Amino acid sequence: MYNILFNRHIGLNSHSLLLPEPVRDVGDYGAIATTGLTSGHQGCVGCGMVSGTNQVLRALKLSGKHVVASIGTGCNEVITTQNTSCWGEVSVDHNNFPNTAATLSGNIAALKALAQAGGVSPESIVNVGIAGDGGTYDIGLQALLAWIARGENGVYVCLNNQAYMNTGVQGSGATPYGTNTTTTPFGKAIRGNQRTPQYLLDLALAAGAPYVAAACPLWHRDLMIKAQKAAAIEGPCVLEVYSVCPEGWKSDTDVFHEITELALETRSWILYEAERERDTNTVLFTLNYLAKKYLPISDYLRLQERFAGMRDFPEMVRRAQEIIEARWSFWRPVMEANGIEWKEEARAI
Amino acid sequence: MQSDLVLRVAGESGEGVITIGETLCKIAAREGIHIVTFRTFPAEIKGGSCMIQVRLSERRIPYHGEGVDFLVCLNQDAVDENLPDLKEHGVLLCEAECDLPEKNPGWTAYKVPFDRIATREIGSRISKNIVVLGALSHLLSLPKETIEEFISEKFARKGKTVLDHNLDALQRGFDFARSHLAKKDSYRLPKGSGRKRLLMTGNEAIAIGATAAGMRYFFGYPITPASEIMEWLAAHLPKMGGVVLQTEDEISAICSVAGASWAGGKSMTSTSGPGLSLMSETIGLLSMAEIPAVIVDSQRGGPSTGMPTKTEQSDLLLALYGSHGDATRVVMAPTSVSDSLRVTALAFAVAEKYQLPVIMLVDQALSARLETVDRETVERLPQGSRSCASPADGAPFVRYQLGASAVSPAALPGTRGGEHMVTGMEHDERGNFACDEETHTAMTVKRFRKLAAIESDPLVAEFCTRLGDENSEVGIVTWGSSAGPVEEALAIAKGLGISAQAIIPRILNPLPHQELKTFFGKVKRVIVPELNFVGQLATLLRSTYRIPTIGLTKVKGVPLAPSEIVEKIVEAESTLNARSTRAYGRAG
Repeated sequence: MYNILFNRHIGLNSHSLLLPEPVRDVGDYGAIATTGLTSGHQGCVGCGMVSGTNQVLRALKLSGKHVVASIGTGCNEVITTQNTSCWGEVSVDHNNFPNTAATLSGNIAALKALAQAGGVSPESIVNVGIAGDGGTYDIGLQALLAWIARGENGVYVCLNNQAYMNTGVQGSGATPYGTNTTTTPFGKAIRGNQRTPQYLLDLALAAGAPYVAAACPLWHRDLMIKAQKAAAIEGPCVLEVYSVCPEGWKSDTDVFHEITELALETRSWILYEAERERDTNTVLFTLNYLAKKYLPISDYLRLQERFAGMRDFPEMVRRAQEIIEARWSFWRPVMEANGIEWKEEARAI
Repeated sequence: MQSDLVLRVAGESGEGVITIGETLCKIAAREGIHIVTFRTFPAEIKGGSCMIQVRLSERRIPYHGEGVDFLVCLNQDAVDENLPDLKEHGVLLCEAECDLPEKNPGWTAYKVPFDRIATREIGSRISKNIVVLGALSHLLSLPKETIEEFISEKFARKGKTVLDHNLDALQRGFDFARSHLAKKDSYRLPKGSGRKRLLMTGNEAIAIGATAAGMRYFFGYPITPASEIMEWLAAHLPKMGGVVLQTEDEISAICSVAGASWAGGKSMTSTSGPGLSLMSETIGLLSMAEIPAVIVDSQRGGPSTGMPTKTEQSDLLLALYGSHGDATRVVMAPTSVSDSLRVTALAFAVAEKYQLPVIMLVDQALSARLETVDRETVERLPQGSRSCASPADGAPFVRYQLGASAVSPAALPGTRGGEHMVTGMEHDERGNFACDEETHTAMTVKRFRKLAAIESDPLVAEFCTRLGDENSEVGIVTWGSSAGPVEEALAIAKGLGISAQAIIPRILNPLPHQELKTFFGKVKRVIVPELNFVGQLATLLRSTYRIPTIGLTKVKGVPLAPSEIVEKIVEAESTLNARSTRAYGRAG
């Protein structure tokens, strides 16, 4: 249990109550002086994960620290390990599928020990764990929650493309309701994925994370602010990044922008952050993006053939809308505080 | 006319290479031709070079063929990579733009502007592979109507425009070949029996075999190269009233199997090496609690994440010994796609009858390969069921009875009077925790007596194959998919006038001692071909039978080639007459 506070301000937020100074908004600087994921990776055309990783790394390096990454098996590992030079000056430790957070723990402990021995300066290093949604929501959840519970200082990034894409599009704990995957096929007996996804950031907060944030590479200023905050705030911070996947979502490779925008406008993906103040046991929630159009979920289902089956079933579309509205109702106090009319349901359902 | 044709299609992943190969396979299956395929997968998620090799024959064949008769290349890289494998008098059909080496050992080359026809004439670059099929159907005299039928089936759902494009592509490819390519070679589609055959991959055969054996509860977690099993079942098992549950990891998958199986359902999971490693602890639980379960491991290059899209047979020792303590389990290994059907059904029969875990080892090459299967194979599968008690009211149920039979009848949860606890702790006959000297000894013996009983069970008797000349002194023992190249190698060696014999056990724990001892008594040299570095089967045979073995191991991510085995046979044969036996010793 924790007390909930809402930040009245909606939008980019480079401040944190856990930090003495605001972090840098790259928008103020124009060109960014750091390199992230460089050429040589083998991401598919239109992959959102590549942008996500790139932005996270660039943001982490803004502090001038050396990045030590623990990466779990998954798409991100597959596309960046055939030519490891794409990681640039990042030290990378690829471990097994379930163990991203556990390896992160090991890295943190070892660096701490090295620092004590005078080998490295702990201030010069930022530890980050990067895994996909399968490696986080499913097989890696135990390790992640245990890492958070230990309260270690680092950043965990979940690149969420909402299924196991590397092994051929099998459903995961993050797969949206109604999605057609190879293990949740859309057929007559069962119509696609029947589960609603879990919410990783809720779990992370409950486990005790001081800072959690949902981001998307399309809003890179927001994402990079969040990555910097996660690195600066003491303790285990979790960042979840929306990752467009043309291969698994069965979408065109050039609609990265449109799909992300639809996700935000339909509120299928909400950009927000939450920081937990330990002494008062208070969590401050900030909404970083307000949908301008309140589009119905049916608009989001259009560009992605993974939803082709459910489009024809109005009751399924309605159910998907209900899931979104239930989730969105959390933000009602912020809307009211800002004098924004509360819309019970999206238009045109 | 030749009775056997090895055809390879190579290009980039996404160019439709596999569709060409699969269409040929479908034609073959319909005509009653035997086929075995081999395909490579790029490690990339999208793109990267890939190929499919199809061997078509009038008779049953064990292997996808060494050396290519007919090579189809969709781009320059494919030519450069695959031309070395083309036989001296083979045929190359390639993209017109490709450069060919000046030196031609005697092959026939046909060039077709696949790209131009697809992009300029049809206006759809992705129909290139169908243009290739059109050209092939002229060159190999394939039944064009059948291809049209397949194309109609494949593209019907995509609308008339797409379908028309593809039918047009087929026609244009065919027309180009007919008017521009004078047939200079003699290769044709082999003649079929006319009796339709089933066409399936190894993974599909496992899923079908399990379903036929009555499996209705599947729990799994995605992993290459085994995911196809779960995917097939996810699409089909619910229709039969079954359950497919994707768990959050492999530990959860195997534990769910334990739960469903204890409750009485035939249950299964499929995975690859990394998953089997995670499952090891529960294999011990299944052994201790005496719960039937079938675990399929489609092996890939290891250790750790290793080479997920490449083949290897390196999980044998893990399957045999994985899990702590003296844990009993049966280990099986089918040799081909049709064999996968039978061995999967046998795995369930044995697991249920003897109440223990059965691990079935296949590998990436076998999982992914397409093969024609006789319909009768599906109709004659081994069957077995669990012995269940009818508990008497009043008296406490004795789940782990020590008696004449090693197998004690189970009672399913919900059976009145049959209430009991199954446990991973050592227990007495009623399931109470017990760690005294007598109980642990008696129960361990009980669990191991099951293995001895399996060894002499008629159910498993036909699952050991002998091949070759029974009087030969050169012997081969192999397992799993390496049986194919071995069978092919024996035939090649025979052609060279060298005799050899082979024994291929489908059950590796317990080993078929009687058959193996007889075999070792006859041969003087024992070659053990397998796809791992340390020689895992050879290690097992040496430690069990105290015989010297000649290892033939390979860790290149591809199956053994028959020529590599023939070489070993020749080498072993030449040492037979040598005076010194120091190097090899005597088997037996």
